[in-house]
Amino acid sequence: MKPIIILLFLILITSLECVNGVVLQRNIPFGELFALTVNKSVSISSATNSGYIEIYFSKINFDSRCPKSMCNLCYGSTASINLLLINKKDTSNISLTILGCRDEYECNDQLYYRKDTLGYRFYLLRLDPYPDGNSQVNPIYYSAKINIERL
Amino acid sequence: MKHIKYKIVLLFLVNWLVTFGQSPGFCGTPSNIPNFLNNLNKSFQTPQNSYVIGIYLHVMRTSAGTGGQTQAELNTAFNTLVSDYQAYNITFKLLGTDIINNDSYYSQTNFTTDNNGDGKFDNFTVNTHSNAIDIYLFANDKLNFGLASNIPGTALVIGGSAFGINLASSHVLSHEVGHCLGLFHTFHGTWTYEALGSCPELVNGTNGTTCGDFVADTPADPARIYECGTQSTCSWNCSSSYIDANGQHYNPDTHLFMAYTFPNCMNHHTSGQVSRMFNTIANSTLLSNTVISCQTTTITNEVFSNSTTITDCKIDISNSSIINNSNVILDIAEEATINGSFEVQNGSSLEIQ
Repeated sequence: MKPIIILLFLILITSLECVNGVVLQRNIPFGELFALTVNKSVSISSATNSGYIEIYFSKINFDSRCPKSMCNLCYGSTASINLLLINKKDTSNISLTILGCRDEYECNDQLYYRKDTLGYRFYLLRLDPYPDGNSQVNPIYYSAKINIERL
Repeated sequence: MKHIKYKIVLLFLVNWLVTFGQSPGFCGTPSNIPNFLNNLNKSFQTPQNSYVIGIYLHVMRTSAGTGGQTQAELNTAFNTLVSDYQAYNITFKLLGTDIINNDSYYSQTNFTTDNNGDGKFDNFTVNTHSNAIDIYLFANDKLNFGLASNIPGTALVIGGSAFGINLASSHVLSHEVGHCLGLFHTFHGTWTYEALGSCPELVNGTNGTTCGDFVADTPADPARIYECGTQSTCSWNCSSSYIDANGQHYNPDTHLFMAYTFPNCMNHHTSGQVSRMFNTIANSTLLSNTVISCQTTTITNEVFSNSTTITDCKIDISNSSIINNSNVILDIAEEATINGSFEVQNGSSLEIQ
């Protein structure tokens, strides 16, 4: 019985990845929040449609978010990431921007962080880690909370 | 068997905690810069009617001397700053410009704000001047923000772009200078990272001088206008979503320099903000050191054949002419005097600001 329990446990921890409370899955429905780390991809599909797209988090373009302790004195403060949208044989670069001096956006806000392109609405709701001003974040450690809807 | 079931339940519980029990990562250290004017230990100094503030512009380039702001962008930055403050009797005198060729500085992104009280950034003191506000203009692809050293302070860095606008030569420069001269963001005290929950300004204005940005005539501002605004029309679209403690809807001014509005929308300070700047300049030793006493530039028998701007507290000009389709701007803090003959040829112009 003990090997079965260990096997069950291994299956559980390998099938679920977690970043900031969001489960990473290989297949995500459109409209569902997911987290993605640099150099990782997910496929996103619709329950009513057999088509799907793949999203690959290729890189951080820049992270100029002001350290939170300096928000009183700062203007601007943005970060930008690049996603690859793979739709059948077509590949497109999608650049998403998020503003600093806050933690996370709500999807129902009509805010600056979203982009409508190629028939989809992309939301970049959160980007971790937030720079603390003392050291540069290694680009491979970034994790983005994203939501994608069909338009 | 019962023991095994217990283990399985425990395993699932551990897995659930690992998956869903993580903190969302709130780790902000909300800044809480004190209200300078409330913390004066000495007697209150009455401000002058006008001020001329000395500034130095520093252009950041690579060690090879490449990159960075062009001379034209430098001129635009200075003229924008002067233009933005001229209506308020605050003039800026350019005491000098230098070019800092240094790869390390050129790419620097981390700046420690003023904690030692000298008005400058603690970790960035290249070519500083105690008698001026040091303005460091970074390249249009660096920083992507503007940052003042303190409130009040005598240094700022600015570069890169936001909302498709190069910040260094935009009104955001005037925003950062506003911090240096004593102004807070209009949403200070309300926004999460601006003195966390400490003192939100009410829409009815009853706590306008003690909360928010400590300025009564700036409308209460709940958040960052550009997050819920339309850049082309400078409108704010979230009035229905934000209410204050009395249940009143916010209606922030989307054109204030000190709001988080789009750079192209910034165009004024309120009279309360101007008063606060004057009181801060008069009572801050750091800023008083940057004030240039009123001096007079005297120009006699000059033929202006190129466009130029002359900046001083007072300007006396006599027996001179402007030719060759040139535009001469007299940028004064107090008065301009024209004596004797003064000719402006057809196609040329004289502008007094």
